[in-house]
Formats: sequence, structure tokens, C-alpha cells
Amino acid sequence: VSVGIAAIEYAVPEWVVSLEELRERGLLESDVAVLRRFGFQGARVARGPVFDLARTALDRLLAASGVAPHTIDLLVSTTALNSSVELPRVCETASERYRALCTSFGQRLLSDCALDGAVHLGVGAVSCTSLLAAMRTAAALLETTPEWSRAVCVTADAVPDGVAREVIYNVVSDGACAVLLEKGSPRNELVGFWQASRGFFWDTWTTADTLVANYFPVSRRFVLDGLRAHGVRMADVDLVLPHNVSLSSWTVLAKSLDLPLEKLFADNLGSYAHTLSADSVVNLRDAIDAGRLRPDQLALLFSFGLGGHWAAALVRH
Amino acid sequence: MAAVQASRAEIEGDLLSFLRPRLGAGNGAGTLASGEDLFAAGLDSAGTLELVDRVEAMLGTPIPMRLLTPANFTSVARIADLVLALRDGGAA
Repeated sequence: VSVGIAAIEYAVPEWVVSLEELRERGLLESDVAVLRRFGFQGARVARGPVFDLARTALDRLLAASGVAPHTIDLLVSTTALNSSVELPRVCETASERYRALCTSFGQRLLSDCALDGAVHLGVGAVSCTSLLAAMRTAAALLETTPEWSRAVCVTADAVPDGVAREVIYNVVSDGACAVLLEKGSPRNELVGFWQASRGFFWDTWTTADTLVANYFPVSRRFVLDGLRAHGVRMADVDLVLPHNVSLSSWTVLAKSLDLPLEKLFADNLGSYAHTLSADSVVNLRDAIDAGRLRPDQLALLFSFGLGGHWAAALVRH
Repeated sequence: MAAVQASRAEIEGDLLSFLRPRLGAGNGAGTLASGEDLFAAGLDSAGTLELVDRVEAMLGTPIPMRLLTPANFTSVARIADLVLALRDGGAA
């Protein structure tokens, strides 16, 4: 049973904070000129709760696809940052704090968006690969559950106030993305998913330098091994939808993969920066809208997450 | 250098010759030792990529993803362990 992406919608805040202001507020480690050279212009910053971003993305998905909410069989919710599961109210007692620990933004989406027939589960702990992991989970469940035909994956993240907006030379934005997966979708067939985990990097405080050294060889091997497992050569890939990390980084990785830069969709790097787990799927949506993928062409979605997570997906448009 | 017939000393010698100029140890005559921590010595991302290419050329085959770990590349001695294990069909 083939599963495909029937629709993608996303929400990024309108408010853009300049690199200069971020630096002035102590939220960037690197010089503004360096980050600008790497392709960044600023960060998208949410003024309201992160739940509102998720809700907006899902509302847009339901409206654009015309799918009735009660016909969705599965919701997979996810966040890259642990902090993005925020509480709807201030807890004043021990009992309220316990209840807060059981709060789920996905459950709230079910309620607020009337996904009354959906089973909900969450995918977590895989950082910026969360959305691809959620889609992999949803696709596998659709393939193996005969009575299910339709799933939605939603990711949303907002960096809390006072937390850095830069991670290893990459500028971080807030954002959310919602994806509709359907059995027998006439387009965007999910040809394959693969992931890799390197537990060595779990301690993000002390392994950053080693991670920088290992990122390229591990990423290259990850991509090539995964493509080979699916019977695909790098030359067969028509477009790469990246996570929005620095253009300098992608230039090095693309060269090591023999990937011409024309096949890298980097249009959103400056305007959106790195929206954590949403990037590659948002890029797929915008690449399709921009006419960068023709029917039957093959797209590779790639993401890496701090902590040692790699994820990729192959999509036949 | 192909690793098919090479001894440990030859593998380590080849890697040290390759790495010394790149780590600023000076025209192949530097002091980088086989047990020295390469990342602490300044091995960066581009250098690691070149090093992996060198080892794969030595082996004549790609290094399996599961073995492409920081621990296996932390020193020339550890890389030689990896090369010998892969060459001899063992698990590194």
C-alpha cells in the first residue's frame, strides 16, 4: 500500500528579529557578518504561544485540503524542543503541577480542531528530525492498519525567551508544519524513510566540537547508504530539500555527495532560517509551489538534530 | 596505499604522513603520535572528511555507517584498529 503526502501547510511568525538585534540581546554567539555570509538574515519569532502556531498550521491544512476533520484516523504530534509543550495555565499547587505533566499539545489539537475520529500519539526525543520521524511512524501505521486511510503529522516549536537563537553557526526560528498523509495519494509518494542515531552525541554540552568534525562524513555516509538501500543513486535525485542550516555547511556536504548546488532548494534559508524540525517539509511545499519539482521527479528530504539524530525521506512527486 | 597486505606500522605511518601537514605539525616531520587525540590536535570537519576518504581508499570499500564514529577516529592507532578489523573481517 503506497502512502503519499496529500497536503502540506505551515505557519511561521511574521515578526522577524534582525541578526543585529539578536546579537545585541546576547542570543547569538557568532558575529553578524559571519551568519549573514552563511545565508541568514534574521529569526522569525512568535509573539504568542507555540500552540497557536501548531493550530494555525493544522487549520490551514484542513482548509486547503478540504478534508473533513472527523475522517482523519491518526494524529502524530511532535516537537523538537522539550520546552515547546507549554502549559495552558500557571500551576499553583502540587496537584496542578502533576496535571501539567500530563498535558499534551496533540490532545488539545484533537479537541480544538475536531479530529474526533483520530487516534493520537506523540513522537519525541529526536530533536530536529522529529517531523520526518513522525511522518515515518504515520506512514508505517497507515500501511499496516487496514481500516486507516489518512493521517496528519504536526510539529511546532518556539524558542523560549532568553534562550539562544544560534546553534553551531545556525540561526533558529519559530515555526510549525502540518502534513496530510493518505493511502493511494496520487502525488508525493513516500518511497522510503531512514534514520540514524549516534548516542555518543547525547551530551550536547561537551560534544559540539566532535560533532562538527563528524557531521560531514557521517551525513555523507548516511545519505549514500540510505539511497543505496532504496536502489537510488545520488544522480537520480532531482531535488534535495534540506534542513535550513548554513549555506556554507550545505556547500561542503553537497560537494562531498557530488550534488550540484542547483539541485539544492535553499530559497528559504534567508527568509525563514532554521525552524527546527519543520524545515525540509516546508521546503518541499515551497519547492513544489515554485515549480522546482515536476511529476515523477524524486526529492530527498534531509534533516539532522542536535544530540546525534539523522533522518531522510525519499518522495516521488 | 592499499591495506590488503599492509602491517599496522605501515598503516599508521601512512595516516601520520597524511595528517601531520594538515594538523599543522609541519611538512610531514611533525610530532603527531599515533595515540594522540586527533580532535584535540585540531582535526576539523573538512579534515575528517578527507581522512575518511583516505581510509576508504586504503580499504577499497566504504566504511560502514555504524563504524563511522568519533571513537573510531579519535587517534591514528584507533583508525588502524578499524582498518585492520575491517580488512580481516572482524567487528571493530
